[in-house]
Amino acid sequence: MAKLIYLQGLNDRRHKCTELIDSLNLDIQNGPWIAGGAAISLYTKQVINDIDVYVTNRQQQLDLEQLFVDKHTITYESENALSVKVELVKDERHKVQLIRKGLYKKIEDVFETFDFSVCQIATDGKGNFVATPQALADLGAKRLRVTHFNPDSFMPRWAKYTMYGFELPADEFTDYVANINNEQFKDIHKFNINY
Amino acid sequence: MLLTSIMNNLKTFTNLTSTIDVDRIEQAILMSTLTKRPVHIEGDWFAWVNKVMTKRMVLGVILHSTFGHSNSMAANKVGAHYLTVKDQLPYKYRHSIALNGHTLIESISSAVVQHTISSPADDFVEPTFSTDAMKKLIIEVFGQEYESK
Repeated sequence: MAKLIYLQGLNDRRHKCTELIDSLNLDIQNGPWIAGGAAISLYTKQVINDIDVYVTNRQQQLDLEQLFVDKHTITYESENALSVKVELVKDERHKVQLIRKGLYKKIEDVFETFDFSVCQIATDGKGNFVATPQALADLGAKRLRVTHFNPDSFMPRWAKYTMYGFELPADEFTDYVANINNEQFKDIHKFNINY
Repeated sequence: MLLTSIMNNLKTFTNLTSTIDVDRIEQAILMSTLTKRPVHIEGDWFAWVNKVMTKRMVLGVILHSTFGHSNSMAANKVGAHYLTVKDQLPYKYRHSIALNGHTLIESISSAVVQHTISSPADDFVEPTFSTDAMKKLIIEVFGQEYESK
């Protein structure tokens, strides 16, 4: 993976809920990190959907799980993720998801799991970001570029990012769709916030 | 008389910001009415039967018409984007700005589907598309634009 770019002190792109961000103990150098969709939304100053948190070690995972159980409402739990609803200010809700399916020693390991280049961005919610050069270039150009192709999830993921305004060139799109069979294509109905 | 004059002036004024050629729009609407498929006008704009929409709205309509639902957050982003570009259209082709994204897509979707089910003898009459039809349609629009030229 190409050398990462660190962007520090983008104070107009902090998460509004400082109490939540402080409680997560995020660290842009060493993790945990907010990565993927929420980091994109903060960087591009868009409304945040849900916040995915990636941890580097078991202790970080246990600490966050304890915080979630003690302070917030658990909405979903599986071996892959623990989701909570956070309402620290009345009528201001956040959906936070602790990713359990892996421990990521460095942020590059998180980025390796993402399907689109634009997702390869992470933040500490305090205005500091780390991203691949390709992610920053593609976010600026609103270009969708596949980094890992998964035929099972491609269509709903493509639909979601296309509706957000990212564009995959027609020739690349046609090539990817040619590798999806009709059964997999039907899974487009799973197009929802989980994608 | 005065009211008509005011209305005409208002329409002229509101059309000043439009950048999309009316002839191209009407040509695309005619072709789409005949083929029942989204037809490319220019740039990001498509006609689907008698409605003019952005490419992202086309996708929203396909998803909504096929599965009866779409991600309301994504739909609202589509609606918010529409508000920023709708002035490119001549006044009479614009959709109501009072609608949120989800309702906007729902409304266009029902208009498109209503039109297709009321048209005899075509190959796109189902209110919900089959997987094959949807795949074909998505590739036509997003892989190979269906030109009106």
